[in-house]
Amino acid sequence: MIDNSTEIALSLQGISKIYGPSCPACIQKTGPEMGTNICPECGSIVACADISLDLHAGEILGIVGESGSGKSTLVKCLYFDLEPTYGEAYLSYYGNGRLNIFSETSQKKRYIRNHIMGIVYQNPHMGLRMNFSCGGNVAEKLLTADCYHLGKIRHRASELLTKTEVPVARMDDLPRNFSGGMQQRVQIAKAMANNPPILLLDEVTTGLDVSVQAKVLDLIKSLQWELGISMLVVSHDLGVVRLLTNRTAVMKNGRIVEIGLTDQILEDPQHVYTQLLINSLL
Amino acid sequence: MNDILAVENLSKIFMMHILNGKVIRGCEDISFTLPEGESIGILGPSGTGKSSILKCIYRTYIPTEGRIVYHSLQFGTVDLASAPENIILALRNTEIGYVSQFLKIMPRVSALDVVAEGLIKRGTEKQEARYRAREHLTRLQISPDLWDAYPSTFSGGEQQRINIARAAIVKPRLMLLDEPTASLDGRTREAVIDLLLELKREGTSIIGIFHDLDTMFQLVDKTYDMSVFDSYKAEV
Ligand SMILES: Nc1ncnc2c1ncn2[C@@H]1O[C@H](COP(=O)(O)OP(=O)(O)OP(=O)(O)O)[C@@H](O)[C@H]1O
Ligand SMILES: Nc1ncnc2c1ncn2[C@@H]1O[C@H](COP(=O)(O)OP(=O)(O)OP(=O)(O)O)[C@@H](O)[C@H]1O
Ligand SMILES: [Mg+2]
Ligand SMILES: [Mg+2]
Ligand SMILES: [Zn+2]
Repeated sequence: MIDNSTEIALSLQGISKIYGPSCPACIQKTGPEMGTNICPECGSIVACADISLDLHAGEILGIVGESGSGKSTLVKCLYFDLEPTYGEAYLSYYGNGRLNIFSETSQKKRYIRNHIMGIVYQNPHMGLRMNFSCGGNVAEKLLTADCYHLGKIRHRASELLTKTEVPVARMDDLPRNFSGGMQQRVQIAKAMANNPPILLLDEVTTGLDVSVQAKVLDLIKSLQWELGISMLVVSHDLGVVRLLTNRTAVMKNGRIVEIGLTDQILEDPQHVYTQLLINSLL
Repeated sequence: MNDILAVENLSKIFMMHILNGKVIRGCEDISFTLPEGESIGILGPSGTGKSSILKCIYRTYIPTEGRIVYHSLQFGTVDLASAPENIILALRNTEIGYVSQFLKIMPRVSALDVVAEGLIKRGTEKQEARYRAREHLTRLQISPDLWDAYPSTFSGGEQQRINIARAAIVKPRLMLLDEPTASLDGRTREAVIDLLLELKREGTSIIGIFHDLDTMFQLVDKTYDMSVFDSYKAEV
């Protein structure tokens, strides 16, 4: 539950995702101290475990960690793409912050996906229908919020694409034919279609040219600045996190090993793994 | 005058796990008080922990021991050594400013907008914020040719003045200055001192580290000398 006076937008409490049969030893025998996310007893993969954190209203919170540390798993659980094995999540914008969104009906979950949260996937193929036009991709999201007037849909789609700097002239083209940076910007336009107060961004800039990265980062900053959207920004690039966030959580082997002010994480890392991560990048 | 800040037995020790648990002393057993509206200069040889003190107050470093008691307008008495992160962020936004020894410049933002940002964040109209930013840039002798350029390409002294303007424009209650005039020449240093003295007259309390003693004595009411600590450290 979220206390309404605290300005917390999203609260995660003990989220775990285990692939495999799972046994009583799974949690205890995995994690950064054990150096693995594979349970030695039963072979299950503990993709993430015991993840608790609060996202404050209007805040951009960074999540960093090496490949396989569980970042995408966490984000996909929040967007209901995966069902967490344990854990609860509360949204201040839903049921007054009193309802664990994971135990809601699938109809309610759809409402949350379409109105309260937007997502940009690490892989654009997950977020976009490559054989729909780029305007069609945005329109699809608008339809989920009961916007059926064709003229209005086109108007809003072009507005969003302009905001994310996708040339409106290319609205009827297929995203398959777009560059990686443009695909990510179409994903952002789609994610924002229904003005959600929360965005989940998974490696939005990975694999993009530096100059294109810069444009996407500037766009994200302006979205927070102008619209006050709260965001979880997942990245293994500390430069991205330094630029965008005030607070950062560090993940390793499915666990959060450290969470703190971003400048503190970078300049005075506490956990041995964070020190390794920072040092490897200096 | 009441104290705005009291540092009590502050120590910062770095535990370097990746160097087999090697321990590095940042600063040790630091205590001083700062009456509201006054300013204190921290002095001592290189490596004695001057910057570490400021970074602990700003919470870029997590203090190992001691308290940093700050009397805030927003939250009353707060121990900056242990306050929750959202309180620290709120105070950074509204009450506590910091000019770092090494410059961190935001990419792809014009000098004018870098300086205006703090005001806009606090709700000042964009036009008005830009106007005040121009005043500050003029005052710190940044050529108007540079106002629309990105500070990442500026000279060290220009970047330093951008950093000072950016922190000063919001008139923080408490200003932390880490060698703000280190790479300035006489004329621009005078302009910076003049701006800082004006802030002080308007009520800002200052904790500063100054390379050059002449600058320091124009600005501070008292000093905290780290060399005592240094000789102690040498003995250990
Ligand atoms: N469907 C699945 N079945 C089994 N294991 C999985 C499955 N999906 C993910 N995993 C495992 O879960 C762990 C976490 O994966 P995840 O994709 O969340 O990592 P990540 O932190 O996002 O990594 P990256 O930075 O490479 O994107 C990995 O060990 C991965 O192999
Ligand atoms: N982030 C850090 N990690 C590890 N050690 C650090 C860190 N920051 C400072 N130190 C160490 O703490 C000690 C004090 O450093 P600090 O920067 O506070 O000194 P200073 O008095 O400001 O020096 P200078 O006058 O050269 O700027 C030094 O030995 C330094 O190496
Ligand atoms: Mg991933
Ligand atoms: Mg220093
Ligand atoms: Zn197991």
